[in-house]
Amino acid sequence: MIRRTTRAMGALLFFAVVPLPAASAQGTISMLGFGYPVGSGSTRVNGTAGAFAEFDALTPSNPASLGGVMRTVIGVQAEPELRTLTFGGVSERNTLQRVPLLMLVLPAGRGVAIGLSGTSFLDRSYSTITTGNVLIDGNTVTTNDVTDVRGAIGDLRAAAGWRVNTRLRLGVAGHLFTGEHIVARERTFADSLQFGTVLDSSRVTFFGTALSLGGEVAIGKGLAAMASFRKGNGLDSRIRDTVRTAANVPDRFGAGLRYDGIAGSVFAVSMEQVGWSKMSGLGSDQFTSNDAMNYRAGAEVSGPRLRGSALLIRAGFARNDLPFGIVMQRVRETRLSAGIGLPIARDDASLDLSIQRANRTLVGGTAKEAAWLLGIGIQVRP
Amino acid sequence: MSRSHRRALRTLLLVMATAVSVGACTESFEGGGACPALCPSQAEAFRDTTFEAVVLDSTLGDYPSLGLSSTLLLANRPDTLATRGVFRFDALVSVFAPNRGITVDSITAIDSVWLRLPLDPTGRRGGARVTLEAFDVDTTQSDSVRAVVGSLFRPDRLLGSVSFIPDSTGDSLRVPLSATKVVAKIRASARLRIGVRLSSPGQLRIVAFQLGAGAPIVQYDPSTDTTYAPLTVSTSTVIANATTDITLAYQAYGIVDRGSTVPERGTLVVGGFPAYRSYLRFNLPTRITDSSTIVRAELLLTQHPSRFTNARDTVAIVPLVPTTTDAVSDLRRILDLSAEGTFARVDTTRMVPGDSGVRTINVLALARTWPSLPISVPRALAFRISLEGAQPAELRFFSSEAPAGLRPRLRITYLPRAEFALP
Repeated sequence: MIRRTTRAMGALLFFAVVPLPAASAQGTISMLGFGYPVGSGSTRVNGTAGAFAEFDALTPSNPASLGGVMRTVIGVQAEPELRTLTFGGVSERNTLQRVPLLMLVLPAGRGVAIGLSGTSFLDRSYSTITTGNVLIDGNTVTTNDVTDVRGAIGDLRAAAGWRVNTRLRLGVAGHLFTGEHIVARERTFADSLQFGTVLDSSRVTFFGTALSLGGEVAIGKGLAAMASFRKGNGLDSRIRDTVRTAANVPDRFGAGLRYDGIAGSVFAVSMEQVGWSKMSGLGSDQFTSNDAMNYRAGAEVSGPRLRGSALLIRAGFARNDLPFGIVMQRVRETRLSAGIGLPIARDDASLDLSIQRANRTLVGGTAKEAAWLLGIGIQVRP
Repeated sequence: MSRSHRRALRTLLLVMATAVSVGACTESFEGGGACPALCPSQAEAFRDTTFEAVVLDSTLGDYPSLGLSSTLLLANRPDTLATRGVFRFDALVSVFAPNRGITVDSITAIDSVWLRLPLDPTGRRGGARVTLEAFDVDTTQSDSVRAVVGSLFRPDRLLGSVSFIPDSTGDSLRVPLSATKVVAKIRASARLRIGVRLSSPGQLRIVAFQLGAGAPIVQYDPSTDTTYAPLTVSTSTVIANATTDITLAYQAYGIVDRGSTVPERGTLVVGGFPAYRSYLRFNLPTRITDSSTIVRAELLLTQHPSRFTNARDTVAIVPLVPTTTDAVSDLRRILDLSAEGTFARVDTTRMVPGDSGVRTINVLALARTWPSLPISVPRALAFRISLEGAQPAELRFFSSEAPAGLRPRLRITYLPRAEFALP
C-alpha cells in the first residue's frame, strides 16, 4: 500500500512540478517589482485568509508548528487565480496557475518533526502587449512590444519543530531563496520592411539565505500565542554568475493568537510585518519596495458530517500591503476567504478547498485589481 | 488502510492531478492598454548612427562573362553604344533523304535560306527603319580575337540583310541569306559563322541562349524543290581543348565597338555596356555588431547622373552577397562566388540613371547576419544591374575616394543589448 501511495504521490508531484504556463496580462498591479508575495500558506490557511499561518504545520511560516506532528505528512496544492484589472476605463482579465507549496513533514520522535518545503516566495510571471511610438532619426515610428516575464523566487526551507511540553513548542528553520527571472522582449515595427524585429532576452538568477525561529505557548485554556521571526541574510542577483545587485532577504515577524476552547472550533488572529525594503537594492533604479504590515483574522468550525467525518468550514479576512508599487505608490490588498476541509480515507488523507476574493488598489492611483484565488490542496499521511 | 479508503485516495489523487493539469492549460486574457503605466521597465533607447563604414570599394568591368547572358544586345546608338553579334553554325547539315526514303543524298542546291533570330521585345528601341546586315565572319585566323572577327564585317562578306522598324518587330526576325554562299559552305563542309549588325540607329535584344543551347537557328530547304521541309541548324562550334562552357559561350556572343567609358576615379559604376559591378566592404563598430540588435540598416549612396544611353529609364540595381572568406582576395573571383541578394533577403532597388542625390538601399536583412558570420568572412555587398549585358543603362555613385559627404555611408539604427530582467 505504501508503495502504491508513493507511486500515486509521484504522479501527483509530477503534475505539480511541471512548469505551468504563466499569466498573460496586459498590465498588473500585483506583479510589480519582483512579483506577488504568494504567501505560501496551505489551502487550510488560505481558507482563513492567512490567519492560521502561525500554527499550521503545513505552512512554512513558524517552524514551531511542526512540533508534535506524529505522522508523516505530504502536502501539495494548486492555486489558480482569475484576475481582473481595471485601469483608466480599461478592464483586463487573465488567468494564471500556481503550485505554491510542496511540503513534507517527517516525525522524528520525542515530539520533534522535520519539515521540508518548497514554496513560492515571489511570483513574477506575466506578459504584456503594448503599442507605442519611438523616435528614430527624427521620425515617429509605431511599434508593438510584447514582453514576456517568467520568473519566481522560491523559498526552500528545512525546519525542525519540537514540542517541549503540552504548553510550549519551539522551532528553527533554514531558508534558501533561489530562483530566476527570464524576460523576453519582442518589439516589432509597423513598417516591417524598413525596420527589423527586436527580439531580446535577459536572465537573472537569485540566491539568498535566511534563518527563522518560532515558538508557541499556551497561555490559557484553549488560548495560545505564537510568534516567529525570520532573519534575512544576503540576497543577490546574478547575471551569468556575476553578482549584479545585492540586498537582503526581508526580515519577517509574525505573531498570532489562537483560541480553540470551543470543541470543534478554532479562532485566530495574526499579524505579520515584512521588511520588504531590505530588497530595495536588488532591483534597478526604478525599483521601489515598501515594508508591509498584514493583519488577518479567521475561524474554522466543524460542519456537517460527511461519511462519518466532520466537514470543516473556514472563513477569514485579511488586509495586506503588497511590497512593490510604482514610484512610491503602494498597493494594498484586502482578502475575504472561505474554505472547507474534507477528511477522506479517515485519517490517511484530507482534501482542502479554498476560495479567496482579493481586492487590490494602487494607493493614490486609479488602478484596481480584483482576483479570485482558488485553492485545492491534498494532505496524505501514509 | 482499508480497500475503500485506498480507492478514495486514488480517486482523490486522480482528481487532483487532473485539476492541476487542466488548470495549467487554462490561460486566457482580454486586454487593452493598462500598460505601459503599470509596466515600468528599463527601456533602452534606440540609437541612430550614420557613418562611413566602407573600408574597400571597387568597380570591376567586362560583365557578364562570355556566355553567361541569355540575351545579346544588338545596338547602333551613335556616340554611346555600338555592338555586333556573332553566331556560329560550325556543323551544317550536308545530306538529306529524298522523297523521305531510306537513302540519303548530298545537298547540292538549297533554297529559302534564313537566319532566324528570336527577340526579346522589351529590348527593342527605334521607330525608324533600320537594316540588319549579316556577314560571313568565318576565318582561319584567331577566331576568338574580337578585333579579328570584327574586321570581317565587310561588304564582300555580306550574306544577306533585312530592313525593319525595331519598335514593330515581333518575337523573332528572319534574315534571308545568300543560298549560293551557304550551299558552297555546305558542299565544302565548311563552317557558317554569321556576324550581324545594325546599319542605322536602333536596338534589338536577341535571345542568345534557351534551355542551355543557342537560340538562333539557320534554316534552308535541302533542295530547290520547295516541297521539302526545311532543315534546321542550331548553333554549334568546335574549339580545341575548350571546356563545354567555353564552347557554348562562343556559339553566340557579342562584340562591343563603343560602350561605357571607364569609370573615373572616385566613382562606382553599376551597369553600362559592357557592364560594371561594384563591390563594397564594410567595417562596423563592435558596439553595434557584438552587443546590439540592428533594427534598421541602409546603405546611402550618392548618385551622380549618367548620360549613357537609357538615362531616363528606371532600372533595378541588384544586390549580390559575397560568400567567400578572406582567403579569396581576387575581387572578380569574389564576385563570381557571390550569391544573389534575394538569398539574404536583400531586395532590388529601382533607380533612374540620369538622377542624382542620395539613394537609400535597404540592407537590414544582410546587416543582421553580420554579427553571426565568422570573422574570416568580410562584411561586404556588391551590385550589378538588372538585365546585365542586355541593357545599356548604368548607375554612377561616388566612391569612398570621393570628397567627404559624397562617400558611401551606412545608416544603422540599433538597440543596445541590456540586462533588463531586473525590475
